[in-house]
Amino acid sequence: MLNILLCDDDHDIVNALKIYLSAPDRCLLEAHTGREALEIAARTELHLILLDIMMPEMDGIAALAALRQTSNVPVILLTAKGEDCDKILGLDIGADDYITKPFNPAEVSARVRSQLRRYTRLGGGAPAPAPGVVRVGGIALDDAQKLVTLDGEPVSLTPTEYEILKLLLSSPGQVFSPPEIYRRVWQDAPLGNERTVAVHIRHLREKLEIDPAEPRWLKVVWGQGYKIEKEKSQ
Amino acid sequence: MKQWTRTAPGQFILWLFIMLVASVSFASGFASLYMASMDFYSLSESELEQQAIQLRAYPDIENLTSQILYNNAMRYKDYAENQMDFYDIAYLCVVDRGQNDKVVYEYGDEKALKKDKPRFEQTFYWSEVETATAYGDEESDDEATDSTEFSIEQNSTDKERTLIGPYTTTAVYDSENRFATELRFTKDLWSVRYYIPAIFGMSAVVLCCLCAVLLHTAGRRVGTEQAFPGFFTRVPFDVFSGIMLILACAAALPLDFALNMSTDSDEWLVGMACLLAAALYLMSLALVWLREVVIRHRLGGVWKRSILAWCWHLAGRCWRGVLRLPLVPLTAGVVLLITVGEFMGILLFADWNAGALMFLWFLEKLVVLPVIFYVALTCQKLRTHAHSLAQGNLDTTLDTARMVGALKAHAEDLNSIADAIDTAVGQRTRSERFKAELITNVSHDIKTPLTSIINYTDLICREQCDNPRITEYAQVLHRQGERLKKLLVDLVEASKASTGNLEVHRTPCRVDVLLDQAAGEYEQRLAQSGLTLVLQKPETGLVILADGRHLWRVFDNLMNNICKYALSGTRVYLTLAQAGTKVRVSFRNISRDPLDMPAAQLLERFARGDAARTTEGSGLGLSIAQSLTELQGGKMELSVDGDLFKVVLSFPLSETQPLTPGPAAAEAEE
Repeated sequence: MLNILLCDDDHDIVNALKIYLSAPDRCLLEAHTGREALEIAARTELHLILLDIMMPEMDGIAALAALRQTSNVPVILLTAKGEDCDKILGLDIGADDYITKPFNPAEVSARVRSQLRRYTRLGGGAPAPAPGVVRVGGIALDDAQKLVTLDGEPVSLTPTEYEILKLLLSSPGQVFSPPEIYRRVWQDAPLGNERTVAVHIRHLREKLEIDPAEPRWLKVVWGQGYKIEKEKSQ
Repeated sequence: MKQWTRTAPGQFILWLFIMLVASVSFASGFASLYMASMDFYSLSESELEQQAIQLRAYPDIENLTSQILYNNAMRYKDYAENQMDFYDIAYLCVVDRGQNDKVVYEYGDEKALKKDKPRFEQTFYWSEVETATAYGDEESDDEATDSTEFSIEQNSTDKERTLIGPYTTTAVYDSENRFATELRFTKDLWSVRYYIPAIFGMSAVVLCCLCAVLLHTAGRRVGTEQAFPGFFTRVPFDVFSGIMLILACAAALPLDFALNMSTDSDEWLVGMACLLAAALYLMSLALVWLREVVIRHRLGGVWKRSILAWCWHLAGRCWRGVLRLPLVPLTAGVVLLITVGEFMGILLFADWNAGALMFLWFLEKLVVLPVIFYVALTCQKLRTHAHSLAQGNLDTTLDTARMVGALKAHAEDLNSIADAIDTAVGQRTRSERFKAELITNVSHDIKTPLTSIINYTDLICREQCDNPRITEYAQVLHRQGERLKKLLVDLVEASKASTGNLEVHRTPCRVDVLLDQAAGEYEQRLAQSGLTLVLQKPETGLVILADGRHLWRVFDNLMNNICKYALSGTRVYLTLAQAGTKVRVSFRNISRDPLDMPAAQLLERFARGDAARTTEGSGLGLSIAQSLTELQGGKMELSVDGDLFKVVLSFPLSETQPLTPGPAAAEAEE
């Protein structure tokens, strides 16, 4: 039984989330302030927390900071504050994901599933690095088996897409320009064909990201190239 | 005690004490001075006695001796003897040295002298005796020719040989004549000669203390520390001081009398009394004056209430009044004054003395030139300050301390202009910030209920419902909710972009790469809309200084518009070219619906190509794109030609090369 905590001061949203996320193997708990959330986290073993930021008594950021001192449970921040700086702050404090309101219910469900998969299959802590397997976020690339998994579930990629992903994963955080990607993957001079790189990247993104419009890991550096976001070690 | 000295009886007692102590002090002071001048401290008692007798007796003896010798002693013997008695001379002898000390004349009883020790003797040669005035009968004119008892001619050289020795005896001392009393007084005085200065010292100290107390209580009343005006405080200070000075001069008369008094006994006492009275009088005047000074000082200033201060204020007011005159009449008046002065000077001095005229001319220049320089310097200061204001430097203020009249007013006006500008700019910034914050805060508050609307309409849509109309209505609600969401996002972005509240990090950016990325992102959607993309770009890369994310957003908005509004089955042209120092990106497409408004209107917020507002879209896309373009230093131009819709973005070409993608670029992106 997976325990999920829904924390928001708006009761309607919590009820809606309960309906969306209910499943036979899940137990949904609710809280309305940061303090309540911490109390419940102390009492019960949780597998996922959906946390709002703007709450009375103790806001989400403070609660998350307190929580991260003792627990590694995945936390998805769910909030109306959608500025870049807010996202960066939340992720820096220790959130695993960030959803802005108003949200797409299907997207919320997908993210929840992804986080749960990651936590239960790959264990609570950081998984031991298996040789030959490169992991970033939920993406794992096993070069020996030529297998790519997203949160443990295999993803089918074309060979070109696989090669591009492998190149990007070889150094997370490094920006690769389209001509360079073309040269390394197609083993040929670009000659005006850089656009195909963009197309392939877009396909990759749609397969690997829950919300391709707002990618979490496979990011576009506009005017320069593409990169895989470096995972922040916690 | 302190309070009691402030009351009227206390003050009276204080004054009384001061007078007493002052009297003692002055008296002992004068006495000490007298004693010091009379060598009381350097002579022994006997020496002092000798000196006293000498001082006393000598003139008398001299007088007598001359009378005896020159006025025919025989004839005036009785008279002379009376005189000698009067002068207390016990014995007088005249000795001729030339004749083996033969006594040629003697008065008194030598033997009687031998009984007592001579108290005083003074021998002197006859030649030393001054010619005395004729004593007695003035009708007689044969005094000089009459022979004296001893035959010494007046002009004889024997004068040098003649000794005259008057002696006095203790009888002098015992008898109750004035000389005896004086000698007794002198001896008494000598015996206390060290006590007198000591008394003077102590009384002087006590006097000083009492005076200090008196001055300390000047102007103070019982119970408060506040100062009150005294009796004379209404009088202007300089008038008051003048009156005091005149009153002090009244003491000159007795002082003069006292200092020039003779040493006759009666006069001596009177003289002393006068001296003391004069000293006390002067001291009282001095204390009253000092008291007034202290009171005035406590009330705010010694010179505050005086004619001089009044004149000073009047002059100051005149000066300020003159300066407040309008500039032109003031200058005219000054010039007139100088001209008249010069004219008068020439008139008066031209005849007499060219030197004086030159001197006056020099003096005038000495006065006028500094004024002219001052005016020139101040004007220069004003000019530089105004110039810095015009440049936008509002921080400095002009120091108006040294300026006068119209110049000062001008400087103050400049300062207030700077303040006014500062305030206006501050207000503007605040209102802009307030507006931007308002929009973001309100949008946060709208997003929360909107979330519930979208969620629950979505849930309604999922519910199995017998009434198909409910589902249909729910779908309408859901669609509109989504639209509202999009509108909200666009609104926040538009407000931030137009108020410049966005963070813009301009770095060297390869436009051709961006164009490729954009084309790649939209390929599928273009295909879905039945549009063909034609991308034209040069061989070499073109670099501009832009924020990659914002530039992408501009392209995103424009491509989005194309996908939504272009005519299906047509081509879309994306062109990148360099024109001189500018980089131009143009988006051209054929519009599906006729565009029935001018291009400028399309750029306005909430303007939709479809005037009926039926299609989705917030109407903010183009406006946001334009704001973002301008934020990055570029320009967006819209043109409509029939159905051809053309957007041209132009940016200045950047010389700097972009960072080659690699770890360094990753750092920059972080």
